[in-house]
Amino acid sequence: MEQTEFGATAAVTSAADDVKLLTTRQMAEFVRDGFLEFPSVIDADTNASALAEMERRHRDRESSPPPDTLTPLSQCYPDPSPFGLVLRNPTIAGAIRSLLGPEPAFDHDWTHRIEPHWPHQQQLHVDAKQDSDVPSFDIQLFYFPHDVGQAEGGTRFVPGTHLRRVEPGEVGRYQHILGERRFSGPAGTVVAMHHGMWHAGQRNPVDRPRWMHKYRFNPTIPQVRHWDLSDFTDIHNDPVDHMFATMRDDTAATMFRFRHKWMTISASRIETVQRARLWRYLTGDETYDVDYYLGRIERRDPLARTP
Amino acid sequence: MTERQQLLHLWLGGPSVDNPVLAWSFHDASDGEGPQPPPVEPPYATGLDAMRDGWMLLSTTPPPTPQDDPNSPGTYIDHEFLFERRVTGASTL
Repeated sequence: MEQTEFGATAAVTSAADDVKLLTTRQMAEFVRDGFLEFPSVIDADTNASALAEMERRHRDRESSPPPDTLTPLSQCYPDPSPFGLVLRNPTIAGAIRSLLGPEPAFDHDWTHRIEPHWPHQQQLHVDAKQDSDVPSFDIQLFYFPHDVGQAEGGTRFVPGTHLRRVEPGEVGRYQHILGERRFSGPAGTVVAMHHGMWHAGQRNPVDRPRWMHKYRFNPTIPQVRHWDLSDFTDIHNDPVDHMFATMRDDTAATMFRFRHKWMTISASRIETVQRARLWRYLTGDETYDVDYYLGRIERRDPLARTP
Repeated sequence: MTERQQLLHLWLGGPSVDNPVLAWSFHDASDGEGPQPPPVEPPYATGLDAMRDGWMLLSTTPPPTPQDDPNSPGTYIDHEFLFERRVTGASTL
């Protein structure tokens, strides 16, 4: 498996049901960046049949109906279905289970077709108008069945924006943000994103239509420790891992301190805290902390409330 | 010749105009008839560099208010500086 610009998505580990669960390191990367990328994970035959299915759905949605919302994953797109083959790919199935737990619920999916030389592009946005501050999250799978070259208009997204709380359309005012990406990659690539990621479809400058199929799934149980935990103790730091005191340089905390190019120092510390909150939820460790931001206030605030 | 407005939004890495540019947007009412920002990304290293190139500061955002809950999520990108440049172009109403 290839690497992303932020580091390895290299080693996935076999586990039950022949799916390849994410490692703890990969889970921490998802918490840090809001996405994981799986280049060329879907084979050429499936890509070809999926493209044909996308064309069929684009022409006539009734001929290729999607599952109902809330359909359990195991009942989505039964064989023979190229959309189902993508979901049952061992790496993708493992990523879904690791991020959401077993048997998440189908939310919706959509085939995106951008016409050749289509001159318009979306403004940056978040998909859900209604959202909350709780750390549970949906994932969206962006499946690219054909090669998308650089500057060919692949989905624009801004790593590290997934834990911000914004009105979904108001981020459209940002035409360019340092560190943003425009997807390019080989056929069969799947990008799994946190539902809060700022993203936008781009114009299509080339002579062929551009296709992408997007799935959204919801967790149905707490998203706690569903991944391969064999590296857990190596990655999960204790709450005294503090950059101004005693600090390790190889833990989840190290990743959660990462400052994307668009972040001010102040913003990066806000994101460090939000990543720590999400990591608490995912690990079930209510004492988890990075640089003592959460613990300091939790220990100090009750003192003023003591009669 | 009609005077037209160009707007340049710069989001900077701090509250001072000489902080580095982190994000930007450009709107051109001259329909391309006026001078364009330098064709590099970002168009200027700092807000002050934009001023040196003739952009006039129109507004900036107030400092963010501390949240009641210190663990609240972030929201939008802070430190928005809005500049204008008035150019004469061929556009007519």
